Amino acid sequence: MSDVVTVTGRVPAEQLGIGVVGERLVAHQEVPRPERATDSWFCEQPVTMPMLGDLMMGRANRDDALLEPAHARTELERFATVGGGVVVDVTTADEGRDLAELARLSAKTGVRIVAAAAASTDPGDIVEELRSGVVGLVTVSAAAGDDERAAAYAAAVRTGAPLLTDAGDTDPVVLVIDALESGLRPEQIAVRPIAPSIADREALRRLAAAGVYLLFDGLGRIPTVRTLVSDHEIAATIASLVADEAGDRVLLGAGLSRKHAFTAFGGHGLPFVPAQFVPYLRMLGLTEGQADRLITTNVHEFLTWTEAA
Amino acid sequence: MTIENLAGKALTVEGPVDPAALGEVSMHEHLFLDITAPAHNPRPGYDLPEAHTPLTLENLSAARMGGAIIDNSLLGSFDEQLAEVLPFRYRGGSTLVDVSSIGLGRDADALRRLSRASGLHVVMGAGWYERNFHPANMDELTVEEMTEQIVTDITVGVDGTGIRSGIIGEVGVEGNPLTDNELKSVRASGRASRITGAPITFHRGGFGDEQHTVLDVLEDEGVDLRRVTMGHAGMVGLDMPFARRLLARGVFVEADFLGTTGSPWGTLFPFTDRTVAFGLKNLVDEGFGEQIVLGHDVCQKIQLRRYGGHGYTYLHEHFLPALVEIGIAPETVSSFMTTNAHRALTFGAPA
Repeated sequence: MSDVVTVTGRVPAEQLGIGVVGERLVAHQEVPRPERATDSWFCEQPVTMPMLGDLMMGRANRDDALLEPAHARTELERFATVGGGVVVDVTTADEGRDLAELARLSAKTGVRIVAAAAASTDPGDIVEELRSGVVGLVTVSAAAGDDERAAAYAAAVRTGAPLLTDAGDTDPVVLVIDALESGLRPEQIAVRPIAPSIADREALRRLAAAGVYLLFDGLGRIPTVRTLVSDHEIAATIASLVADEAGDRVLLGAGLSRKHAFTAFGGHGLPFVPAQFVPYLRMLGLTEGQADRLITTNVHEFLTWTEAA
Repeated sequence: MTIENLAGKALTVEGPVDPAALGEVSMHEHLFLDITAPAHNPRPGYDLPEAHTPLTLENLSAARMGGAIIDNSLLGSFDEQLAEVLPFRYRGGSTLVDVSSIGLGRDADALRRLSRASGLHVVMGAGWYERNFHPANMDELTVEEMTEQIVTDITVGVDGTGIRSGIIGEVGVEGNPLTDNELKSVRASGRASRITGAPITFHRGGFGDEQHTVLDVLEDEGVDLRRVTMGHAGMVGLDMPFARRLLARGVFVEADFLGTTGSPWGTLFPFTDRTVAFGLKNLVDEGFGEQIVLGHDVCQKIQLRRYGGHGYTYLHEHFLPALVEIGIAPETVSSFMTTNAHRALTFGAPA
């Protein structure tokens, strides 16, 4: 197996250990100011314990969207204690991606971090980043325009880097066909399906059968009456994919993007995936090997660069 | 002993009231509670050093996942609890039913002070909780002794305070299998209910079909099952054949432990509050809407707003609106916390 490109350099894939995909460790994300006065007041308060209930229901808060290195460090340390070895960070340049800080965090905690290339409408920019040796992934946000999307595909084709695309409101099948027609190899692609498509197991089966990875993130959110797709439903979907021999196409993540999801703020954080979710999959009937590969071999293989076109 | 006839009334810590005056009622709460467990039956992990640290952001994640943290199991600060229940009142709530039974740190004096300080009606519980919290001498207690204790709590008052219990429960019945002590507690609860006319509320009330055995015991003691609430039954609407048989007996089913941010078993379950909501819709669709009541069952500090939870306002803020959104008629949703709860708290004639 060849190497994975992390923020601290190239690493043989098999040395990575347990990995999660689709996280934000250090970021400053925009939060629009709400309309109503009490919401505006709440929005500006630093996160404290009594605010966590409202935050998990989605109440807007600027500090909650500010992800700081100290908390990321705690998170990575706790992830390492349950075998965590690699985190795929999808923070965009707009959200304050900080490669130097990620490298420091990786060096301090021993957890490898794979960072995403900054989006651009010029494939050359993305290729240049990918050839820097510290950026190991191309991402396409759900909001990306056609030019950005085409540039990301072209850069991944030219370099052989893995590509993660967020389906957003788009049919993931349509999205993947588009990516394949651009010349990407299926094993280079991971798609983050939207909630309703999780219920559409047939579509997921088709994607997996085409060789594309499926990312199930957002695991470990504390469920409420507003939770449309629960971790249990995701687990049941994964169990059915595994039963259909698509278990080698599944990736998992906590989808960290807010302070309140970090363990330092009471959230389930990164350890949830290996310590809670994977054992739950075992309870649903997956063998140890089937469950473990979702957070090891699958991640390693996805992150490994293919031959450049 | 003459038993006051409270038929048609509900009984709060301030005395009898017209049930309609109770307004919006959360049927299953704990305002003051000590579930750190009796000394003769310590909880696993409570001997570890980390179990003795106060609940803060440092250990909140662990507590939500079910980590043993003693502080999480004690709702004891009057000021903190007052601050927690006031938002329930500001959202339109009027009555909280504290179902902390014997062995759970039931605190009549604090409940009455909280009622006065908050302006909320408070109904206090009676009887015995689940078997892990039974007193050390539970094997020796007779049905007669237990009945007398419950009747005293309802007619005279609790612990010499003169403050009276208005509901029997939560009566803890885990079952699977039912134990002699559980059946004794059920029979004493039933007998005390017949003697006083008081309503009964269960912690589960048995596993699966054992609930019918429990209800048989109550009927044998002369209880009107229309005054009985089966707690922790939020999932019943997802098994309609079972639900039909249970509800045909006239009992209320209660969706509770709603909006919890964690539990001794973590947060990953086959169901969520949303699943529960759809189960309730199934019940309403089959005509059982008048037998549904609701509660938060705040029983750990992590459920309080101060400790990162949704407190006593999740029903108003999130759960009731979601019930309307999924298609239950607003007036039916409203009845769960009003007319249904009022009936569930109404005394019958002593017999």
